[in-house]
Amino acid sequence: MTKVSMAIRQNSVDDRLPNKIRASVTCLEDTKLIKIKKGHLEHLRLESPPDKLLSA
Amino acid sequence: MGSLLAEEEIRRYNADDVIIVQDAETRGFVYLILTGYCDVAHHDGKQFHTVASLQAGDIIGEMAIISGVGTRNASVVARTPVTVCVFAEETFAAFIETEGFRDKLLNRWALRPVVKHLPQFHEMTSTVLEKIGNISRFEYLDKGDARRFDESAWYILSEGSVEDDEGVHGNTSEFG
Repeated sequence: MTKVSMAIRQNSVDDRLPNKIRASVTCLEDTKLIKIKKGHLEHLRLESPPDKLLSA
Repeated sequence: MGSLLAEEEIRRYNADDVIIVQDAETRGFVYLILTGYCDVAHHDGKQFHTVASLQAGDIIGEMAIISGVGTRNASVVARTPVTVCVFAEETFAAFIETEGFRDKLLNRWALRPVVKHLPQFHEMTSTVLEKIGNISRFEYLDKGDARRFDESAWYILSEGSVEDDEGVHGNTSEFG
């Protein structure tokens, strides 16, 4: 399970996650990133309890 | 917002009513869901796929305005009894331009199919996927660019590849 999915599903967006920071990277080609602010993710979790996050 | 509310109309639908029909002309309306739940279904020529679930506070039919396409790209079906507020497209278009919502809506529209297929969000409900799309942003980098990450956000690589001390990282890698 990835850091992001773990955070959404397990009620945690803090440093308890195995959250190794890659401080700096260099793009080898044109690159597209998706940015999710952790504060916004926490807000999403509060709106959607973990048992409601997954499809039946 | 005042200009929007001045021209609104309330409509009610029963469960299984079709609010918007894929490929139909837009007929000049945008819908804000006030109560209930809707499914967004796309027909690929062979069968229907439910691509999103919408609920109170979500808007239906806004992309026809943003994209300038005169037809609906998906059907919207009421899953429960639904109440919507209906606005004229022209009124809604003027509102999003004035309030600066156009870029946000475009961003959400572009993110929706990408987020859906990322392993990070596998098996999550379409409602959650929709919300993740709302709180995500694309960031574009050129070949050779360096990017430093901090702890305030997560980044998921959706196209391209990057390199750090540990090696090369490709699609779906996470940073931050």
